Amino acid sequence: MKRLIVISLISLLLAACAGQWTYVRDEDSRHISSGRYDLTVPARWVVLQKSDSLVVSRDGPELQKIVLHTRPHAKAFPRIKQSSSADMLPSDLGAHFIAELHAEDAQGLPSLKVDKEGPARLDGREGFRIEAHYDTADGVRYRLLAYGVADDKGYVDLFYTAPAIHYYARNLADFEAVRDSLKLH
Amino acid sequence: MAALGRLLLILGLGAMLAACMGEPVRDFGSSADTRQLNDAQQRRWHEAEQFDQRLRNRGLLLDDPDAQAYVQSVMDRLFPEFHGTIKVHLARSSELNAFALPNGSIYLNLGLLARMQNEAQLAMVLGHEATHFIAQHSLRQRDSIDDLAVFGTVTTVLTGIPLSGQLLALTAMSGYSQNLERAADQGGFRHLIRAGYDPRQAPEVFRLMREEVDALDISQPFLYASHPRLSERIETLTQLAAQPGTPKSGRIGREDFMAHIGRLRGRLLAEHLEELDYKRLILILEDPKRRARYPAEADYYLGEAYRLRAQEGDADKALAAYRRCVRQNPDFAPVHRALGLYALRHKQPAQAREHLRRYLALAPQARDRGFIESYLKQLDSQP
Repeated sequence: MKRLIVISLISLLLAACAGQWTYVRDEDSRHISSGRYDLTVPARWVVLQKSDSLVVSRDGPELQKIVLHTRPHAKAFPRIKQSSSADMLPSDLGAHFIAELHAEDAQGLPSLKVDKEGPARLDGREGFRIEAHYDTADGVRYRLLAYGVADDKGYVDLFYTAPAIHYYARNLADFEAVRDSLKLH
Repeated sequence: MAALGRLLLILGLGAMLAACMGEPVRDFGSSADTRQLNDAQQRRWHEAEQFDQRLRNRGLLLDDPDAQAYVQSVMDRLFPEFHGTIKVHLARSSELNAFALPNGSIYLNLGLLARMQNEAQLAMVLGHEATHFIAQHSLRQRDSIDDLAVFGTVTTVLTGIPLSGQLLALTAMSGYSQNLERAADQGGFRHLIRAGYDPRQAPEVFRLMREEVDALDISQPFLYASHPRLSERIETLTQLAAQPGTPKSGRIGREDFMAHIGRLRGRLLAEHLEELDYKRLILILEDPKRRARYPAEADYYLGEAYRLRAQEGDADKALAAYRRCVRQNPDFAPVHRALGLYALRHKQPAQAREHLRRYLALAPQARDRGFIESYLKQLDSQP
């Protein structure tokens, strides 16, 4: 019994450290805010909100996820130890975003290849738009669509990734709706 | 990633278990022998094939069919009796390493291949690794956890996969005992001579790698990246080359090697950059002796390393390197992009326009064409 309690407490502590997924039950809970952004997520998806990131998924992050990062310039790209600045060229921001993903010690990301890149706007700010793909060790191909900007307050990226078969196309419109709802402040 | 680690752990443990069971281990004589495997061998063979597939899926192999075919042809010349069984794979990693799996897959890293000077040197490394497979050293290896624990904290392994801990259970990757490595030296050397290569190149390739290890301040426990282990190879092979009856000359194959592999030196610099290894890039290219081994566009990579390292004074060093590159290779598109973006960042619109236009003229299909066109549009709209 004592052992069970200890295990339960450890699990609770770990869950608290990792953050909690919350279910988006109704219209009211679709709107998410932080000091840096406002955003509307799809109903009946799940959300994991942390201090500098937000992950949204319908069926689980392996099947589709929308990720938002908001970071101060000095910690914009932690894995590659690069900073950003408000006047950084969008192509430089995009190159750092890709290098950061490459450096991620996770399934498939070392294989990431950019298909298309160019300028784009996110909440009216000039930035980058990148389309890419990567394969996991098990041979599953994922597609990725990303936007990123830098302003006076820091660096922001918003991306969507899902298996190329079925899932990517199915939830792309949901991602575009999230992107269009994003307001930075 | 955890699954890959588990797979490697199983491979390593399987090899050790088979060794403990005391089954007689015989060398493979030809491909035909590999079709009569016992259960344990079949399991390891299958697991190694899964490992091959995973590396391929993860995009860790070099996509260069010409280089691949050339290296395979050298292997087939060394071991014609294993044609179709021993398959060489070129890995993108810049690390100095090569290794053999129990199914005859030989992995050769870009970092090792691109630093060699001729075909005879390549043949020596391939012969050494293929001997590990033919003599089934993964079954004979009896050194175990104690030795492997030395490598326990290493996180980046030969293939360039950033992994931790368990991966190192795979003895094939980290190297074998001194006796088995010596046996691989002897086997490789024997086949080198049989295929008509110059035996003097056998110790030379390891001498070259030792020089790189020392100059680039590399300190890793792996066979091709460890000063003491390279010194052992040099000693063994120098003795073998000096034995009575050993031929004093043979095929070196510098021209063929350079025709198929020479361009990979530029690719190695790009790989260092992608791995964010600015320190090593700068060490390589600021040494005139080493710089001379790399193509004219090497200064572009040096410039990028300085730009991305971004320490005090690095922006000026980057610009100087880009300018050297453009003088030596004025048609190298990426350096015009770099100079154009440098000028854009430093509010020099005329230079920015000139170089960005040149970049698009040289690389009309550039992936980042959209960015460049938007910058040119902004520049053209300025008074």
